Amino acid sequence: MKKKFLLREDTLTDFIITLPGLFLYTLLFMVPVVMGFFYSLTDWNGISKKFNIVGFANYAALMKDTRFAGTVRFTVYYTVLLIIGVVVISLTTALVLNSRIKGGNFFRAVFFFPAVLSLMTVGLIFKELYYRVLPLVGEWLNIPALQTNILANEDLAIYGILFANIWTACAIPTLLFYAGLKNVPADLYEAADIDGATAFQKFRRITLPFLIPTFSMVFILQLKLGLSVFDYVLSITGGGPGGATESIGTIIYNTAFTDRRFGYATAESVVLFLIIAVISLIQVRMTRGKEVTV
Amino acid sequence: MKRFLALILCVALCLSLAACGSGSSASGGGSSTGTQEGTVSGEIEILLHKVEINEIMNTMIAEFNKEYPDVKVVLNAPGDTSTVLQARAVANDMPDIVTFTYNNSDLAYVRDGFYLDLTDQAFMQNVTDSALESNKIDGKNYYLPYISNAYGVYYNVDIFEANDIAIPTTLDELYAACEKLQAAGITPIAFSDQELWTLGHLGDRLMGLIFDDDGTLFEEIAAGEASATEHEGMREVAEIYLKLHEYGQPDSLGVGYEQAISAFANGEAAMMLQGTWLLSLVKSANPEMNVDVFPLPGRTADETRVGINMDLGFAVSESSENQEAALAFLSWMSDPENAQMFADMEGSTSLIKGVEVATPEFAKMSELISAGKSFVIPRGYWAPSMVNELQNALQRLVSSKDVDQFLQEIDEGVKVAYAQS
Amino acid sequence: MKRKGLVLRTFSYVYVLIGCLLIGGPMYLTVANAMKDTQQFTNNFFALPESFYLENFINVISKANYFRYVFNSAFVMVAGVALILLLVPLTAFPVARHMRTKRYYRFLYYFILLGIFVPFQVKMLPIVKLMASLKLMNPVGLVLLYGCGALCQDIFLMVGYIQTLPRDLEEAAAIDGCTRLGTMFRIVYPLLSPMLATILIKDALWIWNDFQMPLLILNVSTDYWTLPLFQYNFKSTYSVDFTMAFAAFTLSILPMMLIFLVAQKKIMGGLTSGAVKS
Repeated sequence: MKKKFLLREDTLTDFIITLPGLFLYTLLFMVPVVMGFFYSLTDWNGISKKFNIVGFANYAALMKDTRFAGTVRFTVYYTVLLIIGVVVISLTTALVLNSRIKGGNFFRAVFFFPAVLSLMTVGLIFKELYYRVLPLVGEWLNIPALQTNILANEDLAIYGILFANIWTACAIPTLLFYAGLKNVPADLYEAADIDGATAFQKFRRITLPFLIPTFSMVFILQLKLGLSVFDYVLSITGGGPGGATESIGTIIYNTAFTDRRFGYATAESVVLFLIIAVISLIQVRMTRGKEVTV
Repeated sequence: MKRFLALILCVALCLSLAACGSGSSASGGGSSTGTQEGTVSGEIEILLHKVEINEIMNTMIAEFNKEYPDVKVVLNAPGDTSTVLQARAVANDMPDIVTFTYNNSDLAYVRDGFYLDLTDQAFMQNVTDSALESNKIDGKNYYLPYISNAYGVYYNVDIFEANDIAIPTTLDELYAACEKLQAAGITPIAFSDQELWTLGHLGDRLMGLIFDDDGTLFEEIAAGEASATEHEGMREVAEIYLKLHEYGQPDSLGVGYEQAISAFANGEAAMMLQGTWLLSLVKSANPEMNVDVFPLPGRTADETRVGINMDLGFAVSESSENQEAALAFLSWMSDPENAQMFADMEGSTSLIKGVEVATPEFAKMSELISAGKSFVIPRGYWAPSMVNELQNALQRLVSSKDVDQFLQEIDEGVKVAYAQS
Repeated sequence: MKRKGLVLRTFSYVYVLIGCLLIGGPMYLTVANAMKDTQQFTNNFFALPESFYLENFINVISKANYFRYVFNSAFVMVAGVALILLLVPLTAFPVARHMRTKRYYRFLYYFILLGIFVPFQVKMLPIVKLMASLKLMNPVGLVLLYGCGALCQDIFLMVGYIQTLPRDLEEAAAIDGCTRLGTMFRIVYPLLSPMLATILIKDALWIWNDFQMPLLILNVSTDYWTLPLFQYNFKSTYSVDFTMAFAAFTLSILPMMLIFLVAQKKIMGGLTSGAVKS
C-alpha cells in the first residue's frame, strides 16, 4: 500500500525531469531528420535555392537501382562479420581483464588505446601494414592469397577494412562488457562455488544472463556502425578495387557530394534507416524477457 | 540543487554568447564609391581550398593591405572545403570570396548563380585570352582563373642516366624506356591505383591527348548515337592504359598515393605520372632526389600536348555585402606585378598575362604550353558523376585487363550518369 | 578444478600478450612516425626514429592559435559531456522505471531509440539550415548538438543498465523522506557511476576526435576551430604533410588517455558501490 502511494507522488517529478531531454532531442535531432525526409521527396542538389518536389520518384528509382542492391549485399555481409568479431573479441577481453590477472590496469589501458587513434592515422597505418608487412607474413606461411597486397584483391579487400574496423571498434564494447561484469552479484559466484560449479557452468548460468542487456547494446551499436560504415571504407580502400568494397554509406556519400543529387541520397539513407531500424527492433523483441529482471 | 543552478547558469551563458556571435558579420558595408585605392573598406572572408598555399596567401594579403589598409581580409582554409562551402550555401552565409579548381562539383555553384558575373570587370583583361576563353560558362566569366596545373611524367634523373635513357618523346619511346628499366630490375612506373582520383586523372588526360575529347563522345553515347565499344579513340586509350600498367607494380591496385610517392622518392620506381602538385611532395620526401618532369608523350612527338586545368580561381559571392572590397582584392591579385610575386612563391603556371614562372622542373611543359600545344582536360564538359563512373571502370580495367568489358562499362556508366543530370 | 584454473589463467595471459602485440604495433608506429622528418618517414615507415626528433611537435604547438584550438576543443568537450551526463540519467531513470507500465515512457524510449538508426547524411544539411536559422553556428550550438546527438545511444545504454539495478535503495530512501530529486542525485547517481564513466569515456572521445560536425558548424571563423579541424589542415586533396599530422594526432591522444585512466577508476569503483546490491 505504502509503496503504491509513494510511486504516485513521484510521478510528476519523473515526468518533468524527462522534458529537457525530450525538448532538446526533438528540436535539434528529430526536426532535422524530418527535414531530411522531406528532401528525399525532392530533386534538391544540396546547394541550390530552388528544387522541385518529386514525390516518391527517388524511391521508385532506388528500387530499380542495381548498384544500390549490390552495396546492400556487401554491407550486410560486412556487418555480420563486424558484429561477430566485435562481440567475441570484446567479451573475451572483458572476461580476461575481469579475471584477476596481474597488471590489469596496464592491460586495460592498452586495450583501450585503439579507440583514441584518429581514423586518418588508423587508415594510414593499416594500409602500410597490408602493403609491406602482410605479404611477408603470407610468404612466410606460404599462403599465396596473402603474398600480394590484400587491398588489391577484390575478394580480400573487405577483410582489410574489417580488420582495421574491429581493431578500433572493440574498445568501447569491452568497457561495456566490463561494466556489465561488475554488475553481477559476487555472492552468486560464491554460492556456485559452494555447489561445485565449473567455470563454464558459472559463465553460462550466471554471467551470461546478466550480460544480455549489454549484448543487446553492443549488438545494436555495432549494427548501426556496420550498416552505415563509410569512413573506414573511404580511408582504407576508397570503395575499390573496382567498386568491390562499396558500402551503402559510401554510395550515399558519393551521390550526395560528388554527384550532387542530395534528394536521391537522402532517399538512400531513409532506406538504410529502415533496414537498421527493422533489424534492431526484431533483436530488441527477441531478447526481451531473456534478461535477468531485478 | 547546486548542479541544477550550474546548468541554468550554463544555459544562460550559452544563450548570451550565441547572441553575441551572430551580430558580427554585418559590419562594414561597401558604402564607398569608386574603386580608388584607400577608399574601399570592409571585411572580406576568403574560403581557400588549397591549404598548401596558406602562407603564400597570407603574404599576399599583407601586401594587399599596404595598399588597402581599410579592408580586413580573413583567410579561412579548412581541410575539406567542399563540405564547408555546401554548409555555407545552405546556411545562406556564403564567404565573400571562394576559391576552387576547375571541376564539376565546384562549377555547380557557378551554374546555380552563387557568383557574380565578372565578364565586364576591367581586371579580367589581365587574364590570358586562352584561359579567359576556356573558363567561360554559358559565354560568361564568373571567376578569375589564376593559376593552372599541368600533367606530366616525373622521372628520376639519376636512374635515367645510369641506364642511359633519353627523355621519351613518343609513347613508343616511353614503352622502350620502360622495357629497359624493367630489364634492369627497376619498377618503371609507380602507380597509386588504390586512389580513384589518380586513375581518373590519367584517364581523362589520355582521352584529351589521344582523341581530343571535348565531351561530345559521352553526349552521343547518352543520346544513343554512339558507343564506346565502337569508338577507336576510346579503345586506344584503354589499350595505352593497360600497356602503361604492364610497367607498374604488380599489385598497384593496393598502392595508395603516399606509398607510390615513397616508392618513387626512394628510387624503387623510376617514374610517376602526376600533375604539378606532386613536385613539392616529392621534394619534401627526398630533398636530395634528382627529379625532373617531361610532358606525357603522344603517339608522335608532334602530337604531344600538355593537359592543363585551372587550379586556382577566385569567385565573388552574389550575396556578399562587401562586393566592392572583394572585387578590389581580385583586381589587386590580377595585377601582373602582384601575380608575378605570387608565382615566384608558388611556382605553378600563371594565367595572368606577362607573368613568367621559372620552376626548372616544369620548363619542358611550359615550353609546349606557350607554343600552344596544350589542351584543357575534358572532365569539365562531362555530366557531374561521369568522373566517378570513369574512375571505377578504369580500376576494374586494371584489375581485369579486359578492354571490351571496360568499354561496355563506359557505355553503361554514361547512361547512368547522364540520365541523372 | 585446479588444473582448469591453470588453463584459464594461461589462456588469459597468452590472450593479453597477443592483444598487446596487435595493439602495440600500430601504437608504436604512430608515436615513432611523429618523431621523424618527412624524409625518414618516406624512407622507412617502420624503423625507429633516427634521433629523438621533436621538431614536429614543436612545429605543431608553435602554429598560431594552437592553444586557442586546444581551448575550443576542451570547452566543447567538457560542456558537451557535462550536458550529456546531466541529461542522460534525468531522462533514462524515469524511462527505465516506468516503461513497462506507462505508455508515455515507452513512447519516449522508442522515440529516442529511433535516433540511433538515423544515418548522419539524412540530417547533415538540415542541421546546418536549422542551426543557421537559430543563430547557433558557434561552439555553443555545437555543444547542444552533441548533447542531443549522444542522447539516443546513451539513453539506450543507460536504460539497459538501470534495469539491472535493484529498486530497494530508492524505495528505502523514499520511505526515509528523501525527495525524488534527492534520491536521484544522492542514491541513484552513485549507483550509475560505472555506466556514467563508460558514457563519459565514449562521448569525450567522440567529441574530441569528431571532425564532421565542427566542420559543418564552426567553419565561419578560424577562431572557432577545434583540434580536428586544425589537424586536417595538414591535408588537402592532393597533398598531405604526414609527419606533422602524426605529431598533431599524437599530441591529441594524451588528454584522452588521461581521461580514460581517471574514468576507469570509476568503472572499477562500481565494484565497491555495487556492494549494496541485494
